[in-house]
Amino acid sequence: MSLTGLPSDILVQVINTISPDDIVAFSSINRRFYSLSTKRLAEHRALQEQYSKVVFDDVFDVESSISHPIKLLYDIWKNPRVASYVRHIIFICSDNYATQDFSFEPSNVDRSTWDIIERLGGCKDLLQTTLYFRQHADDLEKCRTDIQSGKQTAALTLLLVLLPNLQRLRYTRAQETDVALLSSIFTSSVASGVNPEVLSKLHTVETYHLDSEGMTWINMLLLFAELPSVRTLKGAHTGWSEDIDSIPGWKGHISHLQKLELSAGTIEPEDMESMLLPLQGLTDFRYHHACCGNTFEAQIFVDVLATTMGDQLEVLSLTNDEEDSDMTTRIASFKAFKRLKRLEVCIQALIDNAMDDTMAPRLLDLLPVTIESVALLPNRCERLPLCQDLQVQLLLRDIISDKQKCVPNLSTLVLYNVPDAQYVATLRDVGIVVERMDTGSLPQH
Amino acid sequence: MSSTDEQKIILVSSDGVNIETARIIAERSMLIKNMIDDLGNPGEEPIPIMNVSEAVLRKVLEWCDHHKKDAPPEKDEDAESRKKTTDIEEWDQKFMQVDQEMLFEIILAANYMDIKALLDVGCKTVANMIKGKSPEEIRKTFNIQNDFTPEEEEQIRRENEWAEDR
Repeated sequence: MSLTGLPSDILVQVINTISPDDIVAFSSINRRFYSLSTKRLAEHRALQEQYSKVVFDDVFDVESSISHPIKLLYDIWKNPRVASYVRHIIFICSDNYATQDFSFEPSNVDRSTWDIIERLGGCKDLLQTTLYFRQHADDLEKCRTDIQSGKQTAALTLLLVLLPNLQRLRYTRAQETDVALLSSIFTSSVASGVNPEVLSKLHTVETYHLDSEGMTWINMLLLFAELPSVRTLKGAHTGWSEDIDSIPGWKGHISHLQKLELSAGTIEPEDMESMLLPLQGLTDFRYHHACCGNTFEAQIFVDVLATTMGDQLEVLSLTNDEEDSDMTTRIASFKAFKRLKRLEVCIQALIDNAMDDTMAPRLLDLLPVTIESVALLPNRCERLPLCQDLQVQLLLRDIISDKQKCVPNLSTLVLYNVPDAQYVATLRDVGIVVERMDTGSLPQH
Repeated sequence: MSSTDEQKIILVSSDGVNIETARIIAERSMLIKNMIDDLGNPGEEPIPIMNVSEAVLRKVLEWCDHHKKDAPPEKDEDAESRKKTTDIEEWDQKFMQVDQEMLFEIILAANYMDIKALLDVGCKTVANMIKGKSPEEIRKTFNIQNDFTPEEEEQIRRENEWAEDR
């Protein structure tokens, strides 16, 4: 007796037991298995379509969309397979659901939603299917209570434990209590090895407005320090003046985080140092200064960054889209970044508007020898032909004659301004391809 | 008189071997339970289990013995499908550590003897043997020939491209 010797009706039962992760492989074994899998594959594609990216937003409309974590919990409760399909969650928590005093009472939500909450009975069945909650009754009880009292974030926390294939998470408005629960789930599951599958595929986390409830970015960093699969962290932030060394459980460094993208107000240099120093594996740092009216001490920022991460950063992006927030000091050099391959920077940070033209630096002199790609962002988003943009022209001085000597690896130049064909051709002759910032390609000449 | 639980009955395997077992154990099989109900006078006449050999029948009865106190299967189909994960309890996992020949014989027997829970454990065991494997690895595991043409394989690959991240 062998697998192929089983009658078709039993094989269909086997097929219905196979995990969503394996069904495609199984159906590709041979013709017979493929045709027996037809129905299951159709379901597979439908679930993929519906659940691979889930957005929870302010609109609490259970009938038509998965707008609320509770709804997804309910779907998983009805069909546990659904959990395997969720790869990307965008969680936009409205004030209504974030506040603790909101509760699921028939007067607050529509009838069908209330029915779902009732039927879930606090999700006890569902919770008990996870190994973690089977072994941690206290956390289980807490999660149930939170869900029944209507806390959207509690439902999300639970979801995170249930979703084995989650890769990207955008998470806003975490409350301290939720983070505490998350943290306890992560730390105890990692420490005890109980469930190494909790979020084992999560690689990108975006966090915004964490500090609205007293949370800091550092707390979040600590949290995700427990998840070794996370490579990319994106966030907005207004202050992390937290003494990181005083946080219990802090191991001193995180090496798995490779990419950090911050959209933030002014960071104090000393904060930046204590924040970045532990990130020993970081190679890609993007900082978007988006705080209107504040001055941005670009030179100090870059100096601190170079001292802290000069030996490891390969990608650096410093952008700034507020016209009235001045980059008061000009960045004199990026040479201290010894491994830098890609740089994205505002022209404003390189040339002072008040500067005498003869004082303008040559881009060549600012860059480390390792550089491969440079993007120059305009001060104002008006598209000038390159021949009219004096600042860019000044920056690109001598780039053709001295490229080989100063920046031999430079192969890509990204510009917002429209370059003329002649100039593009000349640059190509020395091995530099020009790309236009918005389209990535050049107009046909 | 002893209770029905301790009643002994005799089963006859397809290769003609008599096996004595307790009624409560044998009645995990809906096939046997219905036969006993139809026959009346349990224990007097041996019950033939036509499609199951002695070795497999003994193995199946071992499973029934361990699970004789389990609650009867749920009538609510919804609730049944909700339990569809590939988790198998530890005793069952050990029980299923047999060669493939025996595994598929158990699955067939469970199906024939109408023991839903055992059939389920069998299917899950197969599902777990597939876990994380490529089609080629699955073929190797179960010694299956690939009868697709390269063109068909390419087409299937394209149909499933969606599965990759997007």
